[in-house]
Amino acid sequence: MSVVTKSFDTIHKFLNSPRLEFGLRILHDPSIVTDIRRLDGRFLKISAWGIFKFLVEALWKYPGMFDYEIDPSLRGMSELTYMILSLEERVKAARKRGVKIVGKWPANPTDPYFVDGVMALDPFLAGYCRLLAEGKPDLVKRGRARLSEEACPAQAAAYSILDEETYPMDFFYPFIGPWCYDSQYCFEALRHKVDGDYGDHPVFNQRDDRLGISREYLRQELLRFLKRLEELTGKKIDPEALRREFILENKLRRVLREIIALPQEEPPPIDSLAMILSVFICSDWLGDPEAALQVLSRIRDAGYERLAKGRRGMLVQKYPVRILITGIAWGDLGLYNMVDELGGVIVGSDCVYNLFHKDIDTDGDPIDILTDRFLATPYTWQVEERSMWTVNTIRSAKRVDGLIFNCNFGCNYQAAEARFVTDIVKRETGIPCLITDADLPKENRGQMRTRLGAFIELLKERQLED
Amino acid sequence: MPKPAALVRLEDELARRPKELTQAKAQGKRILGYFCSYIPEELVWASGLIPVRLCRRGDNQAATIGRSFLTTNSCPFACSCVGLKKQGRDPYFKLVDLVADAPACLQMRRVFEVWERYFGVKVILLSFPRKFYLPEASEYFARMLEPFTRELSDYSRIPVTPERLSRAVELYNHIRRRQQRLYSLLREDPPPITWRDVFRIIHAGFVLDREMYRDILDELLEEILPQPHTNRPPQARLLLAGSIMAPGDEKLFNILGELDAEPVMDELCTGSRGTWGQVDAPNEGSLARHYLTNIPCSSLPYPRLEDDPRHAHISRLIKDYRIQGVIYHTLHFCDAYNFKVQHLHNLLSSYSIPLLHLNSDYSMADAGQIRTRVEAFLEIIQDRSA
Repeated sequence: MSVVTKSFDTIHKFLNSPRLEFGLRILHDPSIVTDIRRLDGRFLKISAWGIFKFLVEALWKYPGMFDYEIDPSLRGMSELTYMILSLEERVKAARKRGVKIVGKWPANPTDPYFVDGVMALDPFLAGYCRLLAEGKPDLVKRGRARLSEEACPAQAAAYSILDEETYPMDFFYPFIGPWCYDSQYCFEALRHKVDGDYGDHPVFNQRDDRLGISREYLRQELLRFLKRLEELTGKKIDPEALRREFILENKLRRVLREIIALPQEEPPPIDSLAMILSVFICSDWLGDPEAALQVLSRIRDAGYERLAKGRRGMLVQKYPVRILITGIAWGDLGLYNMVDELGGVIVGSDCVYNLFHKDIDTDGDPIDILTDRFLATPYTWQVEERSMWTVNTIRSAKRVDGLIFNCNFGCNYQAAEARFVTDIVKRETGIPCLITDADLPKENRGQMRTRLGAFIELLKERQLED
Repeated sequence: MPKPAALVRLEDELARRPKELTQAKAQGKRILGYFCSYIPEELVWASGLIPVRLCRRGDNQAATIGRSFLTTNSCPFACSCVGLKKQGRDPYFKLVDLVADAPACLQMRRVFEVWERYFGVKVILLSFPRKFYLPEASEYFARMLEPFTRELSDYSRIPVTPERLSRAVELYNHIRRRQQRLYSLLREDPPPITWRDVFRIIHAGFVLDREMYRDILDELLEEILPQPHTNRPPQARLLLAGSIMAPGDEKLFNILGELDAEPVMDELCTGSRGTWGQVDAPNEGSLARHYLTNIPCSSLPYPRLEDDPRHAHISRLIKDYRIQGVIYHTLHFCDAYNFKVQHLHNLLSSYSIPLLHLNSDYSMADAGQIRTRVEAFLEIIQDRSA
């Protein structure tokens, strides 16, 4: 397809997409949008004109976003898309103001990273934001060429954005151990670009009485981490400020739990992509927990309003089957649209849910709280316990009809658990499970459609039998 | 040069070992298997359990079976370790009563979990820190060795007394000294023993009775040291580094052999790595320090490029063994080693040492390609020497 044909194709898509209608509606009724403001009032200011301009500019600036059907009429969704696509500019602006950018990995809890003068950045999420904006997998391909052809797409994208200095980073401090295995080596491969250290979360047997010693070691590691942040910013960390961050992030966690409960309702008021985009951001709150809270609250409230009116999410079909994703959520956002089109709806993703599945205590010593927070992450547990956590998630959910365990190419962290987890889930709950393999965005869509179509058909038949 | 008698004895003992272990089991002795060199074997030996390092390259079928329990993204060694257990043909994999895990390589952590769940094998998990460069990590590891030792003793019903531990530390220090002596002989040109033989001798130490193994090492050194060195000097002084190369993983060696080449040194966890250093006292603290702060496995990341101890070690080996080229052999999906190629390449470039990175598995599908690349690599080295 020539460049001209492609441009016309994109414009055609835009003119026929709900985005234009939504943008025009905003211009006539600016009350639909209000500013998203961080407490310091600096990060985000969104006006109706700003959103409209953004949607129009997106045509050439973010061509990738036209590959997916993002529900623009769900209040908060445009702001969320804006936050995702503007992450790069916002991180750069924050750094110009002297804010230190500190790297973390996806599953590491965000709570200790947002201290005064620090902005947490998860290069996985940032890489995906870039992929979403570009709409082509070149970033991953470039990363693989330099890191390893066997790197998972998230690692490769994360490597690229730091190696190519797309995103600035002052210090890298991921917690390693029973977290994403390859992340530690990805950061190691970036040592020529970014200074950093590791937080050591030892792999230990959680079933025996040695927990106390390991817990204390982790506690000391968290103290070392916070001390390093103090050295970096030149500011003493106030325990009360940490506690305020816990309270704020508890609010965020609660909102996310409310959002993922929405697709379980009848009819589901939000579609799969809206749900997944909302929960994905828990990895670093797109650099701004305050703004994230406002945006997510809007999405939740809009979901409740739709529910009260009996309105379905944009792509949701009538009486969809409910599917939980475990393992690593698909990085190809088009697959969430596909599930909806095929008659399903995604009701959650374990890989992010394990970060917000419960609140943390806010009373007591903040370091103790943080230690418990780290230890309460099911993906870090032994696989038997982690599988039972998924079983309990399914049992306590209002409705889950099937489970998809997704393995990303190159992932030997979650992917190595696929059989283990699905065996236990099948035994304990009796629901059908499907293991999928995914890699680059937009790749293998045909094969995926066949497999997802058959799986959803199976779930629908069971639904009819019931 | 005729094969030294001690080496012939070593091979005989190796052939007899599975039968010996079967008899020992029948007499009530227990066999503890482990995969990773971070398990302090001294403690296993002192507890009266028979230590066996489960380190075998399975065939392609074993790896395929393993993949059905793990993932196609898992390294072939991890898959093979699952497949060999499931196949039940390898005597060592079959005979072990329990296994111990110090999860430096996190892919191997899953192997243990599969063994526990699907094959009903008892697993003792030795909690393991990853910041080997931190004194606090050694302290933590030492503290975790205490309950680990208790668990071993509970299983063997033999307490690890200070005397038994002292004997164990002495025995293993002796073995390491002898192994180091063998490796030091490879600096000579020509060496009195080939690297391939040294590598096999190290592997024998994974399964043989350790006291007998010590005696064989003593005999071997006594035998070969006074001999005139009649081996041919190697055509290129190669260092072999990278992912685990388990006994039986012969593809690369056969190719090198066909091209009349052989490494003069290795930096492998199944080779020289475990032979460095000594445990300075018979206690948990010394054991922890020795195992954690010795030459680190690549599965433990290091945050600074400028003083990376692995780079320092490879630099030392290059100097001491007059290395002309490095073959960096990685297994598919072994990211701990694969992701480090670029930095290693930069390091070697600073010494003008060429690097050949081979990323392979246990199939023979890429043998032809590897042969071509090795051949070209040897030519480069020869051209440079000329």
